[in-house]
Amino acid sequence: MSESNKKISLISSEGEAFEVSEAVAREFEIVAHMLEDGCSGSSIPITTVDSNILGKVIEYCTKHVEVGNVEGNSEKAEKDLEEFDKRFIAVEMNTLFSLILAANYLNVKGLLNIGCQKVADTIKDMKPEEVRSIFNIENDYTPAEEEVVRKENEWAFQP
Amino acid sequence: MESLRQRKDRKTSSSLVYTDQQHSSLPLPIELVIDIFSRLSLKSIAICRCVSKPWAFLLGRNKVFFLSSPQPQSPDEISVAADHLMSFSFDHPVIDISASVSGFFCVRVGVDGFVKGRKFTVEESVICNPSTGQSFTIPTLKTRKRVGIIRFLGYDPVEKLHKVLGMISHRYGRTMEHQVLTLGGTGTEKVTWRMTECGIPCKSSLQRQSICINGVLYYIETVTDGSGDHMIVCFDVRSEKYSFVKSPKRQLCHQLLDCNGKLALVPRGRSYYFNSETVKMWVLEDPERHEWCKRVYRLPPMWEDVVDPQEWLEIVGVTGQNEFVMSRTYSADPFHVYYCNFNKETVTRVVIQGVGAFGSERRYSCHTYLNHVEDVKLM
Repeated sequence: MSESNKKISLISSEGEAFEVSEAVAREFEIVAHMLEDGCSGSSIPITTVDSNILGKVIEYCTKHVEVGNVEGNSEKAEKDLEEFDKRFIAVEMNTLFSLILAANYLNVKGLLNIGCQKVADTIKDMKPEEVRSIFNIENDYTPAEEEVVRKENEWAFQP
Repeated sequence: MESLRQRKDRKTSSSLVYTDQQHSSLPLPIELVIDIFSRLSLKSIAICRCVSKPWAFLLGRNKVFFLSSPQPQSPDEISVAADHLMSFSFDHPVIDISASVSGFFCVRVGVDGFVKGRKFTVEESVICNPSTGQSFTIPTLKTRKRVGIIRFLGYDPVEKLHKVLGMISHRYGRTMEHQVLTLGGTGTEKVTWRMTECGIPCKSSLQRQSICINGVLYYIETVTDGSGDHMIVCFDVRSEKYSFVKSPKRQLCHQLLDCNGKLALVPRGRSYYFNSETVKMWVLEDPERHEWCKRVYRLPPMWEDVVDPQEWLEIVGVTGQNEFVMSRTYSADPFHVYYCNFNKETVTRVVIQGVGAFGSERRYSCHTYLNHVEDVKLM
C-alpha cells in the first residue's frame, strides 16, 4: 500500500470508526495539524461530532478531494462541485447548524463557508415572523416595543 | 468672569464605544453568528433587528455615546456628574475613536465588502461633533486606491478651522498622494481634497494615531533610509507645511500625548496598577533642535491606597503642571478617573457619574479625553 493510500480511522462521539484516506482526513485541518505534529496513531477520536454528522462531513471532504484530483476539464468539475455543494447543504436547519459546528470544530473552511452562506441566504428574504419560526426564536418585544423597532427600520420593509 | 467661563469649558469627555456581544438564540458560537450576519445586506439587517431583542442588540447599529463632565475643581471633589451629550449610530462596526480635536471627534469604521467570496474591509472616517449632533463622513480621497488610506484630523486655532490630512500608505513604500480637506469650507474649498506636497520622504509606521497640539498635527512615520527607525512628522495645520522631529528612540511604541502644550510620548498599552511605582515619558522640549527630555515621575506614597486594586489604568492626559489624569479603558460601575499630582504628591479618585449606567457586565470601550470644548460650528 503506497503512502498516499494510507488509511486513517476517525472515531465519532458514539465510538463508531470511519475509515478514510489520509488525503481526506487532511481536509480536516485539525486532523492535518495532529498528523503534522507527529500524532502517529491511525485512529483519531472526534469526540464532539456524532456519527451522522461526521459521516456527512467525510462525504463532503471525500467529494472535494476527488474533484481536486481530476485532471483536465476543470470547468466542468468546478460546476459539478458547485452542484454537489448546493445539494449537500440543502438540509433542515438543525442538521445545518450541526454541520456548521462540526466544520468549525474540525476547521473545514469550505464547508464552514457554504454553511454560513446557507444560513444567511435563508434569512435574506424573510419577514421577522418567518425568521422567528424557522430558527425557533421567541419574540421578546412587547407590542409597543415592536411597533417602535418596526418604525425605526420601516424603510427595509418597503418592496 | 472670564476665568470662570474658561473653567467651565474645560471638560472631561468620556466616549463609549459599543463593542458588546450577546446571546443570539442561534445554536452557534457568537463569532459564527457574526460571520453569518456580516453576509447580509443592510436591508436584511434592518428586518432582522425586528426579530428579537438579542438580535436587535447584535445587529444594533454600532453606537458611540458622548458624555461630558466638568473638570473637578478641588481635591475634595470626589464625584462629578456626566451629562449625556449625544450619541451617534453607525451602520458599520466602529474600529476606533482616533482623535478628539477641539470639540470634534474622528471615528473610524470598517465597511466590509465581498469580492469573489473574499472578504475585505475598507475603512471610513466619520467626523462627529457631539455639541451639535452633526456627523460627516470624510469623502474619498482623489485616488484610485481603496485600501491603506490614512486620515488625520487637525485644528488651526488662528483661523478656527478643522482640517483633515489624508494620504495613502503603502506597506513597503513611501506615503503618497497627500491631500488636505477643510471642514466647513466655503466656495471652492467646500469639502474637496486639495493636493499637498509632503517634502519629507517617509513611509507609514502603520500606527494610526495622531495628536493636534496648538495647530500642529503630529504623527509617527518611518524613515525611508532602510533602518526602520521612526520619526515624528509635524504638519502645521494653518500653513500646511511639513517638518519633522527625530525620535528619541529608534522605534516608537508610544502613545502621543499633549503635555501642557508640548508633545509627550508614553509607552503605549502600558497599564498602571495600585502597585506601580513610576511613570516615564519623553517630552519634546524644542522641536527645531530635536531636543527631548526624559522624565521619570515617582508615584506618590498614597497612590497604592487610593487606587482600587482591581483597576488597571492608562494615562489619558495632563491637566496642569505635573498633574496626570488616568482612567481605565473600558466601562465599569463606578467609573473612576484618577488625578495624580506629582508636585503636591496627591492622588484624587473621582467618580464620573453616569458612565456607570452603562453597566460593568457588558464591555464597552471607554476613551477619556480632557479639555473638551464645545464647538457649534457646522461642518
